[in-house]
Amino acid sequence: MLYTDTTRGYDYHSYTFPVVNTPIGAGLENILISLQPDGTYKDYLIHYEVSEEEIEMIYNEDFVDLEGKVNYLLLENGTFSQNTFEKIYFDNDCWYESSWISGNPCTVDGHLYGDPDCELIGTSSEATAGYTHTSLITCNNPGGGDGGDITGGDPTGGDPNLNDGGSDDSIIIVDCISSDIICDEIEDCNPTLTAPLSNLVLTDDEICWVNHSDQTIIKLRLENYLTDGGDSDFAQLAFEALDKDGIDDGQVDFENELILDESFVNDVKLKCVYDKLKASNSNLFKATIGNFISDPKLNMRIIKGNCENTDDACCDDSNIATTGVVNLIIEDTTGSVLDTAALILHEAIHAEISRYVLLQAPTEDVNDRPRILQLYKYYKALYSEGNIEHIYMTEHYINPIASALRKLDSYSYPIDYYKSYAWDGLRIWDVMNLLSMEENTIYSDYRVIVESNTSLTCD
Amino acid sequence: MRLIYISIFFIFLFSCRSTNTDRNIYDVVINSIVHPMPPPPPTVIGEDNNEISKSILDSLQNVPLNIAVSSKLISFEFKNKELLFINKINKGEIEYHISNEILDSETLFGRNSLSFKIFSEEDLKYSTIYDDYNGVLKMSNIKYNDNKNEALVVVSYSMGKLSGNTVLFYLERKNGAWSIIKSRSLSVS
Repeated sequence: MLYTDTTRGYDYHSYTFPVVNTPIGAGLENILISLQPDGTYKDYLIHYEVSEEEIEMIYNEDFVDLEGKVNYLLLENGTFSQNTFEKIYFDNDCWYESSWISGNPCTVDGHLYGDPDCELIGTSSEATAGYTHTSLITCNNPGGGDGGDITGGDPTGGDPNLNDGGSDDSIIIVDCISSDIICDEIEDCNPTLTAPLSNLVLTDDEICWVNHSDQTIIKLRLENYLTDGGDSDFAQLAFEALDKDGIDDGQVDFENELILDESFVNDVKLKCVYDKLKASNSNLFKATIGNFISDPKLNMRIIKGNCENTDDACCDDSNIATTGVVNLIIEDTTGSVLDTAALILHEAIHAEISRYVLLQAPTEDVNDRPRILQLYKYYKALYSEGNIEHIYMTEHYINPIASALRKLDSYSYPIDYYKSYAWDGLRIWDVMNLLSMEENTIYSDYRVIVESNTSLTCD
Repeated sequence: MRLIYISIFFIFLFSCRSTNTDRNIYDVVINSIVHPMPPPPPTVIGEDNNEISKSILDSLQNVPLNIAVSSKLISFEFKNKELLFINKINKGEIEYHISNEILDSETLFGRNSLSFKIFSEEDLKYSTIYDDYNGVLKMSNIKYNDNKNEALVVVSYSMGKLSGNTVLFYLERKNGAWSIIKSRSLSVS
């Protein structure tokens, strides 16, 4: 971060960088590059002797008494500033490092790039231009001062998995040539889509948009995802979610390969319930939504929207075989946290069964078929696949749903107390009479007790 | 004058024929998707009992059901319109939603054990509708091929909380009768 001060008689400024590899338990460290009156810089390593608990307090913006805990170590002149200062600059809340990469002369006659006498222009043997190699070092909220903000910015800023500008962006590397907007702030469109984004199907306007400096972070996210071996289909979806063109907009959980539709993100309660469910990391969550996360060819989009066949929630798997996308649409968010979590899990199970069936090659021998495929065949003259899944869910998913909700509720009650939620939407499909009238009544009474005492809130 | 009468007759004839065709298709798909609660499957499913028996099916067809029907039609489109009638309904990407088009109640038809009542979309309250009705039905308009012997229709049917489904049907007319050739599940609640 950059700090400026005009009270010193000269245009003082300093730069502070957080040291990110300080061992756990060794406190916090910053590098301070401080301008001197003679125009040179001095580099300091600032060490804060604080405990892990105190670090947590600092991150939470609680008061920590630092008296006697700060040590300044003057580093050898130019340790950092001499080598890097001229190449590092701060722009639009981000730090960049740039360096000049020389071009190559023509391979045959030694002409330099742009020499009109070169007879090899347009061939692979043509001279190449030099270019500025720019790397984005970090994007943080600017702040700090002499000695710097102890945390080096807001290290807790945002969900580390979401493209929300949080400091999880701390180290992102990008290459660009000098003609890129990001490098020299040219306002004109750059119509070139370079690797690894070149496989995206984008319009000219979209290419200009993603190349503009305002979209640096989005572009870097996409590039890093693809460079790390990400799936191009998901990258395409991610672009559509991030371009904010009013169609399929939302946030992208790159790590988990989930698209969080804008309608979903904007519903504070629904997003809160989902986050709690995700944080609880139950076996059912991992075995449903988690399977989409680990499957590079299939993607899940979570949407707050309308279903044609209910006003609760639905799983739209209409295009799973064509686009690989399943939409979990949550319509009703008026219920409790546990009610809404049960809706998400119910639809996530449908999504997982669709994923399973898509990947499952049915065998010729009915006896070898998994139970779900047997039920599909048995009931196909009466019901659609989706409703047959409800029958399967009564046999296999009551305990997993109840267990996931119990974990979400911090194991406050025995598992039976959560079974009423699990049976929502499945009671009429209980063809095996697994839920007796008496049990249904007992579970409903338990549900009242849970709702009266749970500490789960998303208000 | 005679020419005018003949013209009116043919216009009337063709409009009836269109309505009757819609009615026949709705009859087929409604009878396919609207059923009472399921009977239990065999304890062990094997080669000899891997499909529900015809006698059970026949008995279920006679169970009387009261069906609430939305007055608004579902609209649907394939992104690639060329995929509409090449008998590959499982291939193309499809979009669908409730439209502002109104269902022609004259076309609504099903087996004798079914009775229908049409509701406006605003009056369809899922939280209470199942107190009086066995299910809620929504239909799409019907898309025909140029020869009018192939048709696509989307039907949504719900039997209770989180118990609805929406299905795309592909039908063909052979020997004057429409029959379902393929279906594709679009969503489940």
